[in-house]
Amino acid sequence: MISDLIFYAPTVWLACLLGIVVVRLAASGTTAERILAIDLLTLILIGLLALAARGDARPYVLDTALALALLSFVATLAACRYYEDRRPFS
Amino acid sequence: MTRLLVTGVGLGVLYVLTLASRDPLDLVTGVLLGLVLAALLGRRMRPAADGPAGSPIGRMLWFPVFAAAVLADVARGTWDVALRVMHLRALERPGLVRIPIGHRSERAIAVSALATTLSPGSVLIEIDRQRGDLLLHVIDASDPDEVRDRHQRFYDRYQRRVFP
Amino acid sequence: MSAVVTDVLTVLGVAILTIAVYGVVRMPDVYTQLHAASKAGFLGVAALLAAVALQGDAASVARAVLIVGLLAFTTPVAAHAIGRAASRREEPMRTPGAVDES
Repeated sequence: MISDLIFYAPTVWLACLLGIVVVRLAASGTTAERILAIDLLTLILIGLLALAARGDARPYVLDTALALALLSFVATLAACRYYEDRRPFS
Repeated sequence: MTRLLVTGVGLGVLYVLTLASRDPLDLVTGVLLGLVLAALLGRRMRPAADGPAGSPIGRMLWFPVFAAAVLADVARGTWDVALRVMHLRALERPGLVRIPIGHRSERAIAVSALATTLSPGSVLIEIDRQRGDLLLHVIDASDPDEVRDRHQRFYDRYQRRVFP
Repeated sequence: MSAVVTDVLTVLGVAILTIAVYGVVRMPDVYTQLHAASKAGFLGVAALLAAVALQGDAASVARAVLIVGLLAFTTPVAAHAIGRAASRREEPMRTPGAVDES
């Protein structure tokens, strides 16, 4: 019972954080702020995946986290480049 | 030639780590793939020019000290930024500060930039080669000279012996 | 023993991520948000992954180490890219009393 609580409370909490960032992303901000919010969104998702991998002892969930980390990095760079001079590659 | 081998084997180890397998066949596949990739792309990805380094053994011995100093900086920066976010310490004068590059080599600039940006509280914004300085955004820029002194001290004490 | 350590690391990671999100909501401009979001966020995720590595088998450890190592190199570069894009597009610093030496 207690261990269930310890597992589920952080998951629910992180999901709430995801919601807050999504609202922040949609509501307002400059373009750079939005890119940053998306970056933070993927970081929280990686944290959620880590919790899932730990809770159910499924290490292959971490593969998703790895792919997400790499993809979000490339996506952030491309978005910044595009915002900077209207083309992704100089 | 050495660099090709090192890059290839490094990529192979990365491949094995990603698969998380202990099969030697996977290691061989990974190293082969890594060597092919390094041979194809290595010419385009030249590492930044190194500085006039001392003995390689001295560098290797000093590297853990440098890494520990960076980690301590990260811990201190996280604490400081957390306090400022939680209204426990005033967020008064953040701002852009110029840090002179000095005699850093190309690789040392990259290492400095990565180390300062990794620790919360300072982000590299731009490298200005014409004026010869790095433009950083620091969370407490109320005394820009103090920030410059702190970075110079960090470079002199920890980084110069490893990445001059 | 190790169960206690993993729980502490999990709570620590969630706390750091909460601070990062609160920082992004509270800070007035991109530059100050960068300090809170990407770097503190990285440390939070690193703590969560350390919890996984302590409890899991060899496969989990290898992947956790790999993810933390990659993030240690990618988050500063991403933060720099965002900051540079913002400064080149001349996004203003909205904090009162901001210092500007650019």
